[in-house]
Amino acid sequence: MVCIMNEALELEVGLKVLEVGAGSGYHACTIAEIVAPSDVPREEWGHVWTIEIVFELYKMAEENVRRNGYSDKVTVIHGDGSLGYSENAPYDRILVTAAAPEIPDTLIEQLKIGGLIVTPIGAPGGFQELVKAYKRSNGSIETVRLGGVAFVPLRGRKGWKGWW
Amino acid sequence: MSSEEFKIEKERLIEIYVREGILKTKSVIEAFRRVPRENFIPEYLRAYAYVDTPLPIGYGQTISAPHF
Repeated sequence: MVCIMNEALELEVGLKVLEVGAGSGYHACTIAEIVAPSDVPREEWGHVWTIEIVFELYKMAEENVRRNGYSDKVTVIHGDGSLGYSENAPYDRILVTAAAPEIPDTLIEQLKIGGLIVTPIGAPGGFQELVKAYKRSNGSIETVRLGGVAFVPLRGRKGWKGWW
Repeated sequence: MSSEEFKIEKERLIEIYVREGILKTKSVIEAFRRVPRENFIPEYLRAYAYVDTPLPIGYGQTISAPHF
């Protein structure tokens, strides 16, 4: 999924990115390679914040990020990512690595004007579609559908009820 | 599996993804090339790091397949 999502995210050097669902931490590190490449001066680097709701996975992701040398480009946070991470908002890009009932309004709020969010939308085990949504200058949302996918359900306040 | 063997398998995947139009952008390809996916996978599943499939990472969660 990293390949399709990273292509859809229109990533470039210097962008601030929020990932909802760190998992192993792998996806965040591939994004860091694009927004904060080592051959570019540090002042021009972007950054990736990635939130994980499962404590054990948060610990694993943090350890993986550190062990593979991405600690200065990727920050792993333990918390409910369906509410975003307002501390460093707004973000240029947001990606969600679990399927939500709809694009969480909290994430749209934390997106910059001109920014874009890529997220799977759909029911657990049911039909899910990868959606890309741009936040336009008048605040409106323009969505593009990228086809069917299969993700774990999004948990948390803006996720699927019963999947806490 | 040695790091050299992982590298060969990864290049084979990249070739397929580029041919199928999944990978298009140079920076996205380079990012996939640079991060060792095998290091983010439980030890016992490492041999499958560059097979195009999702793998369990525990706690009911998975690491997605590289392309899907």
